[in-house]
Amino acid sequence: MSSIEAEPQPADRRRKLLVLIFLTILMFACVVIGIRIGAVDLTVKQIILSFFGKTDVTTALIIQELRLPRVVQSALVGASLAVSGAVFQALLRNPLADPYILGISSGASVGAVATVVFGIAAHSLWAVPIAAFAGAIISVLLVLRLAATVGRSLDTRILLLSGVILGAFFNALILLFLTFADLESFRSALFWMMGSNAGATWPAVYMLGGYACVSLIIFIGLARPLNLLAIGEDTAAFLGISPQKIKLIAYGGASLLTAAAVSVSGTIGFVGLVVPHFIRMLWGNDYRFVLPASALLGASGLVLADTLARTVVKPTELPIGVVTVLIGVPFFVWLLRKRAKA
Amino acid sequence: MSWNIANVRFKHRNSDKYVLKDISLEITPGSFTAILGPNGAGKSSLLNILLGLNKPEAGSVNFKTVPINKWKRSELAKQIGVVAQTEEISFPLSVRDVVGMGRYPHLGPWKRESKHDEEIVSSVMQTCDVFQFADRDINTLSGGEKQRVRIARALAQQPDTLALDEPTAALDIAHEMAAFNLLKNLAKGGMTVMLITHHINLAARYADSLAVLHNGAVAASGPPAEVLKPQLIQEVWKWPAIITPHPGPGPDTGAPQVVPISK
Repeated sequence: MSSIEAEPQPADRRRKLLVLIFLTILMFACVVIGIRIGAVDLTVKQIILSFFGKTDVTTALIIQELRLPRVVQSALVGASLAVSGAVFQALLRNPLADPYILGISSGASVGAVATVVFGIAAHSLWAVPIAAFAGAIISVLLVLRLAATVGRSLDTRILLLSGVILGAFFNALILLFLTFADLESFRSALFWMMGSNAGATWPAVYMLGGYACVSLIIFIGLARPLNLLAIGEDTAAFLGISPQKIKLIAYGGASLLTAAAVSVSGTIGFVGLVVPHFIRMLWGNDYRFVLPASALLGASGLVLADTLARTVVKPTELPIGVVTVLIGVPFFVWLLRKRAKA
Repeated sequence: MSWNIANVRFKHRNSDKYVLKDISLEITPGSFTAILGPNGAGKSSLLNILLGLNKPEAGSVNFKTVPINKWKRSELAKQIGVVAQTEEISFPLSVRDVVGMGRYPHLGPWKRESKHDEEIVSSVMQTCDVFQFADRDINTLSGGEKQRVRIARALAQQPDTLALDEPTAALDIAHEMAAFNLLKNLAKGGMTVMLITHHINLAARYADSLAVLHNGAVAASGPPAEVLKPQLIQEVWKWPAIITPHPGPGPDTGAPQVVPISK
C-alpha cells in the first residue's frame, strides 16, 4: 500500500488555507487600487492619512464619500454574486447555473425598468433599488409557486424550467415597458440592466453588507450538505440530511443575496458563473473551500472591473456588465483551452 | 429485530398498479439476508420502504422496534449504510472526498474531521480495495470501481446495518467474490446485511436467509436450502431449473445452486 501513498489530508488542507490567505490579500490589494485610481489619482499615503482625518477636505471627501462606498459596494456585489452562483450550481447540480438562471435578474429588471420608464425613479433615490428588490423577490416566489404546482416540491428540473419560462415572460414585459419609454429613460433603463456601481451610497452598502455577512455564515453551514447534494439527493438523504430542507434554505438564501446585490448595482453578468467555475477548476469542488474562495475572488474581480469601467475611457463611464463580460469571456476561453490541453 | 415490516402495501404516485401488495418480513440483527426476485418484482421499492423514502399505503415498517418515519434522518444515517443502485455525481470529486462523505452523520455541518475520521476513511478504502485511487476523480473510475467506492462510503458511516441494491452488478468475478466475502465477514462481525441481488447462486452460498419477491408478495423466505426449489424457480422466474449442491471445495460446499435448463 505504501508504494502508492496518497496525498495526506493535512497537506491539502494547508494548501487551501494558503490559497484563502492569498485571495484575502488579493482582495485588499484590489480595494486599495480601486480607491487610488480615478478621475484624480491618489497615493496610498493619502488614503491612510484620510482615515485619521489628516488630509485636506476635498481628498477626504473623494475617499470617504465617493471612492470607498463605491469600492466596498463593488466588493460586496462581486462576493454576493459569486457565492450565489456557487450555491445555485450545487442546488441545480448544473455547472452552468448562475445567480440569474431562475429569473431573478429579469424580475429585478422589470421592477427597475418600470420605475424608470414611468417616472417614479425621479422622485426618490431609493425607488429603483426597492422596486428591483421587490421584483426579484416576486420572481423567486412565482418560480417556487410554479414549481410546486407542477411536481414534487423543488424538483430541480422543474425549478429550472419554471425559472426560464418566467424569465422569458419578464423579459417580454421589459421590452413592452421600453417601447413606451422616451430616449432618456430608455438609456438609463438600459444602463441599469448592464449594471453600475456609480450610485453607491453608505446606506446601500450597509444593507448589502448585512445580507452578505448573514448569508455567508448560513452558506458556510450549508457547505457540507451542498457537497452531499452533488452526489445525488437520495444518497444525501441516506447520509443524514433532508434534501428538501437544504434546497429550500439554499435557494432562499442565494435568491435573497442575489436580489440585494442586483437591487443596488443592476444586473452584472458573468461574475456568478465564472468565479465559482474558476475556483472549482483549480482547487476542486469542496464547498467548504469553494464558497469563501468564490466570495474573495468575486470581490476582487468586481472591484477591478469597476475600476476599469470608470477609468478606461475617462470621463465617460462604461457599464460594468460590459467590462465583466468583455474580460471574462476571453479569460474563460483561455482557461478552458489550457485545461483541455493539460 | 432489526427490521420488522407487516402487511405493507405500496404503489407509486400517479399509478394504479400496486408494486407491493402484502409484504411481511423480519430481518434479525447480525443476519445476512438476500432479497431475490425477477425484474420489476418490487425489490427496490421494498428497499425504499425499509429506508423510509417510500411511504406505504398500508402496513407497518419498524426499524429496531421504532416506526421508520419516527426516525430522524441524521440518526438513521448512523445506523444504516446504504449503497443505492444508481448514483450520478455531477461534479468532479476525489475518491477520498466521496468516501469521506460517509463521516457526515457523525460530523454534521460544522465539526471538522479529526485524525480519527481520516483513519476510518483510509481503513475502509483499504477494506474495499480502492485506496490506490484515493486521489483520483471518481468519474474516471470504472463502474465496478465506483461501486466499491460506494461500499467504502457506506462503511465509513460505521453503521450496524447495511442495505445494498445490486452492489455487485458491475463487478468482475474476483471483485464480486471479494464483495460477497466482505459482506459475509461483516455479518459475522455482527453487522446486519440486507442485499438485493440477481445472483441467486451467490446469495445461496453466502446469505443466511433469502426472501423471494413475486407479484408484490413474499413467495418464499427462509434459509437457502428451504427456499430454493425447482417449483419456486419455475413459478417465480418462469424458467425450468434443477437444484444441485455446490460441489466444493470451500466453506459453502453443499449450498443449493440453481442451474437453469436450456430449452
